[in-house]
Amino acid sequence: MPGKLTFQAMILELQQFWGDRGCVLVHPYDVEKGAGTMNPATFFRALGPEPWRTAYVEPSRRPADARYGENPNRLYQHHQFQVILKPSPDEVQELYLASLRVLGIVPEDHDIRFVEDNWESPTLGAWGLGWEVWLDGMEITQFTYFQQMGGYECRPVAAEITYGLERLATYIQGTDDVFQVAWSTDIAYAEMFRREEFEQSRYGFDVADTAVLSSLFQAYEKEAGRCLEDGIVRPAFDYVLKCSHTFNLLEARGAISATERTGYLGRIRGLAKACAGVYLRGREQAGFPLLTAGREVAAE
Amino acid sequence: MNLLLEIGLEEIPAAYLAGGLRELESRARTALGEARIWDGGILRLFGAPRRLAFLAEGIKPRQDGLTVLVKGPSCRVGVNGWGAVDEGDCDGLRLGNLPTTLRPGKAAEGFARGQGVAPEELLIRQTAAGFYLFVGKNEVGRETAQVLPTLLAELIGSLEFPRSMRWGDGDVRFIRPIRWLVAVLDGEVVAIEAAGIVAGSDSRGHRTLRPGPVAIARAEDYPAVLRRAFVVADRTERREMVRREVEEAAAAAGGQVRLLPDLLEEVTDLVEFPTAFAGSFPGEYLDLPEEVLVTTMREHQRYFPVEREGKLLPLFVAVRNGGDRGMETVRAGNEKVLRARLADADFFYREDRKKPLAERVEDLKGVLFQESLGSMFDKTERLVGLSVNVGAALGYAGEVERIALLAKTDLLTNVVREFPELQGLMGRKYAWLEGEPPGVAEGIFQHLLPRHPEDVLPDGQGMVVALADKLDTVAGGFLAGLVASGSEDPYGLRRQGGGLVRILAEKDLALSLNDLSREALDGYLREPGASFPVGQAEAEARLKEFLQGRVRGYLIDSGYCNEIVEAVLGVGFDRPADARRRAAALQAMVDGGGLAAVLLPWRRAASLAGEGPSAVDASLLGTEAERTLLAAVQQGEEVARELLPKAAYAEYCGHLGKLGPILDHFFREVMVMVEEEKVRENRLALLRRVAALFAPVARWSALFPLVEAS
Repeated sequence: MPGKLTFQAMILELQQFWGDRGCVLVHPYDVEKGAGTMNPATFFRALGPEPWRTAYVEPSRRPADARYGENPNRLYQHHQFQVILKPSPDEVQELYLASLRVLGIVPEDHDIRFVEDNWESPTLGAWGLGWEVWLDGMEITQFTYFQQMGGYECRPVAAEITYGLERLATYIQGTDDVFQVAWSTDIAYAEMFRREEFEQSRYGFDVADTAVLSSLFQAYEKEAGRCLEDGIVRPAFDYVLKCSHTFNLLEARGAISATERTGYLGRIRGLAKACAGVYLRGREQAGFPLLTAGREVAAE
Repeated sequence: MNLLLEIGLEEIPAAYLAGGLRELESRARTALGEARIWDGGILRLFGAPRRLAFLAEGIKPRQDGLTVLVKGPSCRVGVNGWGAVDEGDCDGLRLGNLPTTLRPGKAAEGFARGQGVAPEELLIRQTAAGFYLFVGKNEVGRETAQVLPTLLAELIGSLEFPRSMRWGDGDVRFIRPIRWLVAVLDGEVVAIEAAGIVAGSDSRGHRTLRPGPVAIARAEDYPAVLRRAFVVADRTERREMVRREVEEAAAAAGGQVRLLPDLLEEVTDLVEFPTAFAGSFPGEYLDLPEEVLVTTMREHQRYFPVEREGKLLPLFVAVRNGGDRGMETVRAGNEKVLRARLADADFFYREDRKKPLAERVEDLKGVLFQESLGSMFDKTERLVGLSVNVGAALGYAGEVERIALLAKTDLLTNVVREFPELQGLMGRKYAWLEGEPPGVAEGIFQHLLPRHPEDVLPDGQGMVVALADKLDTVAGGFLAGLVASGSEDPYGLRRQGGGLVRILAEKDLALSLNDLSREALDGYLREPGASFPVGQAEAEARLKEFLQGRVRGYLIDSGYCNEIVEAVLGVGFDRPADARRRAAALQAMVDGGGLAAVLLPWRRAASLAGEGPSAVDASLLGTEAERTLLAAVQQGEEVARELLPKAAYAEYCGHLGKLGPILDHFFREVMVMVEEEKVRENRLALLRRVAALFAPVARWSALFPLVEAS
């Protein structure tokens, strides 16, 4: 049993597993974001009637969770391994449990439970129902059936499986401290990210210039709107993501009052919904190509 | 015959399982009964994370037959000679059995022909619209096996849950995806299809202990077969198993489990096959407040705390879904998670201690109270003002202002952000540690009471702030237009309003809802430039109606019948304490059996009296019965002056009770509506004085059903 998989070996195993099951392997999307759901390979592809399967790693930034690299569990940036299966297959739970085996986790030797946990994203205009998956009492995965994305009903419904890689790695490697995780056989997580954690924490909590961030937010918002007017939805969405991250920074800095918060969220959500609409119209005009040409992608 | 239906699902949320079973039970009882294949009786329910099921015993092999009546023409039209008989004698008879003077007419013959029967077979029945001709048709019951497929498919489709979802590319909505169906009548599979799944006789056992199909050969075998497949499908049995397991695990570890009832229910519905185990955490964390420890274990991990002589031990008991295999791994994993959680809680607690509550007031500007009502800082400013005023009205000063100022500050602490249910508890803890006076610390906690209808009520200065807080929330809710509809209470307005009324009523506070509401609304409206979605007049009117509803709800929840509640509210609801006392006094009259003796003479008096002057000229009272009544009224008026200001309704109603026989006597002896106007008006004035004695207590007419029923 590969009891001491390194962090990168876990990623390789999961990519192999899901790649073998028809998932398109894409790579982290190069704009800052809080969760893998915000990658266009999920946000856009969950929309509309076309089938889709994908898997990828997503570094996810949460400025408010930052702890200067001093907390063994909480991080500014963690890594999600994201899987989208659309439509959700009947045996989706069994597939997921089989994927744990490639990480050396034999379900029979553990207590694995699906505990209700529903998901809602106020910025993406999205929600779904599902569970958090517990491995011996630890939440290792979010499992969600998307019901709505960008304000649109999801038909068919995609299943989203999001592994928390740091959590899994501390478990698999038997440590209480994420910084002691072996990223590769030679390099520890601390070497990779301790300084990064400190600097990003310092920036988010102490250094960030809120006036600059506020004006950036407005500039990004405006640019997103201009792109939408021109019908170019992908650059528009890039700016939506930038708005979202800038908002997260402002909030971590304590620069957003309670009453302003809802306003900000509404503005981002409005843009995300507009992106969803433009994207859907574009796919429709193209005749939803994956409904026919992409059949082999959807097949097992 | 026995019928089994099992709906196999992906994990049902624990919070919905018990409710889901109740829903299944009520729908199944109705559907099986209406289909005439079951006379009620034993319906066993089974529910576990991956299944909802029922087993109905005594299913009939065939539907009961049914006689359907088809309506034809009226007898007046269809029967020649109808007008000449006593109609009532004919009800239920066949046309062929009627006296020969009555013959079927053309319309009856046509109707009979159309229905394929002889005219003599037509039945006469009385309806609301008169006598009509009918054809009685016997519908032969179908075989149950033929009825069930549609019935069960519709039953599954009819189940409703608080929140449902779609999955795959289907349109079906259910609580979680349906993955298999078992439908067996005795030993035969019922061919049903629902949610794209064809039912069979194969269930599934425990996910890891017994993977693969588990055949249910006969319906009644279901629980035993599943038990062998490591699924304890009976909820009650499983809960008792969890209880036994956790008690034993705690005892083996040297302690006693703190058996939190809600947690026991939840854990029961998180496992199909429970096995409990004890684990430990580092003893240094016992320095954390007990609330934080218990909540961390319970909310995050669903662990039971372990104690000895009421003191927590560095132990927990968890319940695993499965058997003993790999138990050491499972224990170590759970201990690791709890260590991390407690390290977090410890960090939060230490961070919180760095900044006293008093220094956090300003930070409340960053916490939203409600979208159109501003921040918790704004709320705190109003709360201080309102609390001081309410306190003055009740004779509390002292620490009220300080309590109100700090009441919301613990919302800013890390521990409360992590565990919202510790709001108030942490406020009290931190305030106490920071050297606030004990009354202030306690008041911060009490201002949130009651948190639910069964909760304890606040007391003293905390009660003052509790009243002010609820008033402010409810008043603001109506200004913001957050109207609660149906059974939903998304903003908690009903809960808050209910708490407000309960405090006023049970703490016997002589405060007026109207005055309080107006003051609370003023708190919002006097802000310069204040503007709200709903105007003042409308908000005030709706708030009044809403509070009346809360008083009604409070009285109903206290066990008073509708008649008493209506009678009480008919006089007023503005002072809930007053309303409660009046309801209790009326209840005592009902319980004592004295209501009828008062109510019937009162009815005569009140219906005669009408409007008019109430000055009585004693010299015009010619009879002893009149003079006795006047004396009793005058005495009653004196009693009223003494007792009503004290709201001593029980005692007052005792006096009213004595008026019953005197009134009775009066009506037996005296004719009120005599010719001579002066005498008549004088007697009516006397009766008006009687009615006036009753009026402050209740709208007595609402109580008639209680007397008439008995």
